[in-house]
Amino acid sequence: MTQTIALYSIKGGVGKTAAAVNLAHAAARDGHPTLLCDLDPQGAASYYFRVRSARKFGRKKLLKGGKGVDKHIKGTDYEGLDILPADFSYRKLDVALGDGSRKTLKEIFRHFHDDYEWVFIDCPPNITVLSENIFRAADRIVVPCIPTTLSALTYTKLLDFFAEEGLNRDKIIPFFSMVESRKRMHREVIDALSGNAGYRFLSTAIPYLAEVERMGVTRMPVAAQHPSSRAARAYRELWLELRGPHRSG
Amino acid sequence: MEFLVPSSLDPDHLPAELARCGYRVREGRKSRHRFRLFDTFDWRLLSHGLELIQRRGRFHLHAADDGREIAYAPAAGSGKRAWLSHHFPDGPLRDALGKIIEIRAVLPLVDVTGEERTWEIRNADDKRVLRCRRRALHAARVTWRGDPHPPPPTDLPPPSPLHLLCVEPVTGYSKPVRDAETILDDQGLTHSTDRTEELFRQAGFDPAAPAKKPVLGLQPDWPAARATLEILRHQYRVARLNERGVLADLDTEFLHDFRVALRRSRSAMARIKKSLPPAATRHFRARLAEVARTSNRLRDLDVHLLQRDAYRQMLPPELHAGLDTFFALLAEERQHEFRKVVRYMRGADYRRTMDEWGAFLAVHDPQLPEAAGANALTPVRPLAEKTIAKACSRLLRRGRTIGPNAPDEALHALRLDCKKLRYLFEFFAELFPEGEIRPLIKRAKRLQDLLGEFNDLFVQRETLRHGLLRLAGDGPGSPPAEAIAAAAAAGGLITHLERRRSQVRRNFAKTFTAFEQCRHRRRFCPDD
Ligand SMILES: Nc1ncnc2c1ncn2[C@@H]1O[C@H](COP(=O)(O)OP(=O)(O)OP(=O)(O)O)[C@@H](O)[C@H]1O
Ligand SMILES: [Mg+2]
Repeated sequence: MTQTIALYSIKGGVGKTAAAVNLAHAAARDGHPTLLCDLDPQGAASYYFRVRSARKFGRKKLLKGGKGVDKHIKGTDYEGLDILPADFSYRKLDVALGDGSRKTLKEIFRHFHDDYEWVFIDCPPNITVLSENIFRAADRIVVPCIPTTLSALTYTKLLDFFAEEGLNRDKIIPFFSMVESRKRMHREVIDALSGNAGYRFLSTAIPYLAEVERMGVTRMPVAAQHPSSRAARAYRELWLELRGPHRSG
Repeated sequence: MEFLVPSSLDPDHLPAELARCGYRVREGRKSRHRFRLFDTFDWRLLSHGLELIQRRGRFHLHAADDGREIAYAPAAGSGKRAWLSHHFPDGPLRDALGKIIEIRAVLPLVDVTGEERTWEIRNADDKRVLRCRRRALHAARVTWRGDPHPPPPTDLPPPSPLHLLCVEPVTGYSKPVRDAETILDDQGLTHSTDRTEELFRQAGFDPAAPAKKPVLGLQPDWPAARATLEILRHQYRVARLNERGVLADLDTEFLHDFRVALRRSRSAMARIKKSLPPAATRHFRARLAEVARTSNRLRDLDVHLLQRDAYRQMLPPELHAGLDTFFALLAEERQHEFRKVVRYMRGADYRRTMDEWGAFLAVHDPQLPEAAGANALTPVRPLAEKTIAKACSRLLRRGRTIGPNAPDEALHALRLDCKKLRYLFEFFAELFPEGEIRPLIKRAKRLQDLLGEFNDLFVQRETLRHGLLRLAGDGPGSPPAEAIAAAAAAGGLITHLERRRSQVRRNFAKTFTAFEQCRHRRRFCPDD
């Protein structure tokens, strides 16, 4: 069964794109046919893979789904990893999905199940109609959290939203992102939150590392740059935890 | 996409031209390759568009046209031997391969070594949009004990490496592929799908060599003797071609094909009346019958041993151990028979027969009056029609009398009639329009398959009964014949009862539901 994983958070700049790019790369390196869907109109993930969307592709094509979308999937420089690049017209995806007359993202994404074992979605921040659509389309929603009190608050907001909308809370899987262990607040927040079984944080945390920041310059996943770097190992561990023991391929 | 290119094409041509189109070109590291190519004696993989290679301790099954990997499996051992499908580990490779090779063995044929250069073609964003590979492959025939192929001709030109150019597109980037195609088009190159076949040729093989459906080029107005000779020469070639494989015992098809060629030869001489000199015909028919006879038992045992898995599935598990004992005995007997056949085929008698026969076929000249049969110079087509008509009406006459109560012997006899007719169809197929003869051959083959199966079942049962008698033996310690008969009867019953039991088990659900759904039941015991 294909696993669809959304990288999501209400807050911006928390490491969603960094995680989507590096997790997708790790999945493909593990031998799984993998697709990365860049749904953020800013196209940061597409930028990291040096890919642009074709002029003919955009929001409307995406929402039609099916073969018309397939044509715009591009191979990355890495074996087994394809990407559906973002387009600037996605900034109005929200409005388009809002009128309810189109296909839902869940229907559109089901089409990828034949060709890919793992599908990662890089989402734009905020809670919108688009994010609700994503919540329904994804099997799991992986949420990077910078360990600050403010982040903890936004995370609780997300849980509340799920409760209000009758969405399945179990899909939400948070992990600590951009952790700076020399900061006392980071240590304290991690201690407090990871002790709380209700929050279900992954045990792997991604530290704050210059190599991740440098991806904007190298334009490649950290493991493609240095497979044994600290950052590469951290994302690989995160991938293994997400994949789980029985999904080895 | 792969292109066979002349060695004169500069390896850097394509990358350089792409660079001129504005792409960024980066050459990757050079690498070396080494693998071994396999196929069955009758080129089954090649003719199904497949390529089986062994590389660094693994077998890989590829699609021959685009090199796409279909399956792989670990390969133990050096690979210098014949592999039957059950020698491969259970898994996707064995499944895919088994369907194609069936009971044939794959043989190590060609060792390929090569150098490879690769280029990454990138766009202005420095994104890879294409990959090019240039390979020079050297093919050398594998030498191994038991190689069933004829030794390579000595006048073979020294092999020159095969140059291949491979263009690998990246999903979503079609323009660079088109650009590469245009460049190669200008060089007059079109892409090729016969790299594997080319490698076989480089190593001195001829993968199109005598197949099961030969084209002999018979013409309707040829003198009958000339046509008969062509037919016989072909069968002679097939027989000789299979000798080495029979002796090396690589798979059971060598012996089978060898025997079929002998049988066809005898049949051609007997059916196509008086086209060759009667004395020679009589002589060679008798000699070939003798050759075939020495391997009759071996062939029966082969057929039997091939049934092993099928037998297993027929029997309930508790009888498997007994079956294994039984097959061990058969295998032992087969070894004995095989050695006998080898001794015979290496002996002077056999060699003389084959040499004489070959010489006769080579030099016989039907134009010389003293050598000719009475029909030697009549045109072959009318003679073929007459011969077919005769064999056909005989088959029809006999077949029509066979009712449900006819004795087994009648069916056995009909099998032989049918076989004769089918051989005639095959000999002469080229003389008639394809559409007239092929459907008929197909029907005749089906009829013969049915009769053949009837006969096989009979032979198998006989072999089993024989085996039982042998178990009894007469030495001290061997069980008495009565005990064995009793065990056989019990085994038969156990099997029958087991089959019945699983039938009954399957019926349970239906019968239970019928009770459950019965309207009247609800009157006493309503659903809650
Ligand atoms: N573990 C890390 N260590 C250091 N820098 C990081 C780390 N993770 C992300 N960054 C940097 O932080 C910035 C934001 O990260 P990223 O783009 O992954 O976040 P995002 O949640 O996708 O943001 P947005 O909401 O804008 O899409 C980027 O410049 C990135 O290089
Ligand atoms: Mg982002």
